[in-house]
Amino acid sequence: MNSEGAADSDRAIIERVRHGDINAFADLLTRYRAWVFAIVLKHVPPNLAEELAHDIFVEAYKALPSYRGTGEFRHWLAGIAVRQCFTFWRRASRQPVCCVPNELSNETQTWLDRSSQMESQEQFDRQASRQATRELLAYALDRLDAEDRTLVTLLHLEERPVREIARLMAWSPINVKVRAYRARQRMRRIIGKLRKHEEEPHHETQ
Amino acid sequence: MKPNKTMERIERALWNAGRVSESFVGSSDWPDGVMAEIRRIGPLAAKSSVRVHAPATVWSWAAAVAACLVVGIGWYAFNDLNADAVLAGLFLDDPTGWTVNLMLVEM
Repeated sequence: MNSEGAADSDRAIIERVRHGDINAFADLLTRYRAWVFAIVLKHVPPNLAEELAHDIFVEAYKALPSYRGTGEFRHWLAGIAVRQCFTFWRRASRQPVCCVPNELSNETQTWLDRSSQMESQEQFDRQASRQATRELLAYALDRLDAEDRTLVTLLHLEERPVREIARLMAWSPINVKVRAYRARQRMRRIIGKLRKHEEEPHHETQ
Repeated sequence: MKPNKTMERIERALWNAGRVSESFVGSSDWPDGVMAEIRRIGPLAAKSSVRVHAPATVWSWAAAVAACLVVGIGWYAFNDLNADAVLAGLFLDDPTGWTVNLMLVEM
C-alpha cells in the first residue's frame, strides 16, 4: 500500500474508532506495532519496551479525538511515543527504574582505555565489540537528565532532523541546537571521567 | 592521538551501536493486553461527545446568545433606565406635587 492509500485507510479506521468501534483500534495496533517498538527500543531497554509501547497505544487511543488528520497518523503517533519516552525518563529520574550497572565491565573499560592508542576509525571499530559500545552508551545515557537523554537519542540514534525534534518536543529549532550542544558536552564529560585514568599520565609526560 | 579526536571516534562508535535496530515487537499476547485496556476505557464516541463536541455546540450558540444579550441590554438602557432617570428628575424638581400626582394616578 502506498503512503496515500495507507493514510486514507488509516483515516477510515480512525473514523470507525471515533464512532465507537473499539475493535477497529486493533487494526491500528497491528499496523503500527513495529513502528512504535522501533522508536521505543531506541529510548528504553528491551525489558521495558512492552510496558511503554502499551502505554503509548493507550494514550493514542485516548487522544484520538484530537487527531485532526492533517498529517500522517504515524507521525502523530511518533509524537506521542517520544513524549511518553521523555515522561518515562523524567519519572525515572525521581524514582530509578532500572538497570544500568554503576561500573563498566572490564572489557568495556579496557576498550575505552586503549581508545587513544588506536590509529584509525577502522581499527577503533574493530576493537569495539557491540556489547562494549552498547554498555558504554547505556552508561552515559543513564547519567544524563531526561531532556538531554531524549535529545541525544532523537538526534544521534534516531537521526531525526532538528526541525522534527523541535516539533516533537515543542521547542524552537534554535533551542534544540543549543540543548543538543550542551547535552553532547555533558556526555563527553561523563565519558571523559571514565577515561581519566588513561589520560592523566599522558598529560603529565607533556 | 588528540583527546578530541579520540572522543569523536568514541561518540561515532556509540551512535553506530545505538542505531542498530531491534526487531522485537512484543510478545504474542501483548496486543491482547493493550486491547483489554482499550475496552476497559470504553468507546470514544460517548466520551468525545462531552469532551470535544459539547464545547463546539456551546460555542456555535454563543454568538447568537451574545447578540441577544446586547440587544436586550440596549433596549432596557434606552427604555427602562431612561424612564427611571426621567421619573427621578421629576421627583427632585417637585417632590410634593410629584407624590400627589402619583397618588392620583394610582387611585
